[in-house]
Amino acid sequence: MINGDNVMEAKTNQSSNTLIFEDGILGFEDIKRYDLKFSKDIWPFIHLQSQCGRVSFIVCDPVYFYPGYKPPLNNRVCRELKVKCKEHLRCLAIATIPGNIKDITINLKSPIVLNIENNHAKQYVTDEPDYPIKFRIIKDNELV
Amino acid sequence: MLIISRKPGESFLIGQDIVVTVLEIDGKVRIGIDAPPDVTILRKEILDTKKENIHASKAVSDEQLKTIKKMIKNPK
Repeated sequence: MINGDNVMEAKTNQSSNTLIFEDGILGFEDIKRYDLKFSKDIWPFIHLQSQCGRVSFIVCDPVYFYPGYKPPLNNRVCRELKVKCKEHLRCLAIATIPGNIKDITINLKSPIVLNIENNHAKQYVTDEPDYPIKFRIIKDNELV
Repeated sequence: MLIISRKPGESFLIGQDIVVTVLEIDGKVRIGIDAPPDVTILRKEILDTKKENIHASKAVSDEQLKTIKKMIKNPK
């Protein structure tokens, strides 16, 4: 299990980290290097932008929206990310933001896992049937 | 959808050269597939994730994110 704790200690500041995806992100396998750009103004959302400038994602801390989120972790992912200690793992979920922004969803089925020790990251598809690809984070009855 | 009942050890064919064999049923079904090397075999959720990533891969302005932020309640 991965602890879905906050990815960033520096969430009160503007900062950025380079992440290396050896296998790319599913659908964008040829793009390996991304910058994670934190900003307090948009927290808990974070920009994940490819260094080549072709692709941009919004990611978030899934635990913020799904308390107790702990995707099962397999050994292959740990090997690929060269994980020495599971305390170094963090989890991010990719957000999909359609035209009608209240229909925003986050992908709990396929989290991005990162090793904060070496900044290697990987998106992997979990076997967990309870974690949907489209998890709504704004319920209709919560609209303000 | 075509539905076929198979016991462990039994197989069926897709086209002429793809053989699908049910190996084991124990909570999960284990399936073996013999197919030509040019046939791509993917767990469907991988394809679904690729499609979702393509929808997700677009620039969103900080203004939009701030609007969303106002709409969410922190469940913690």
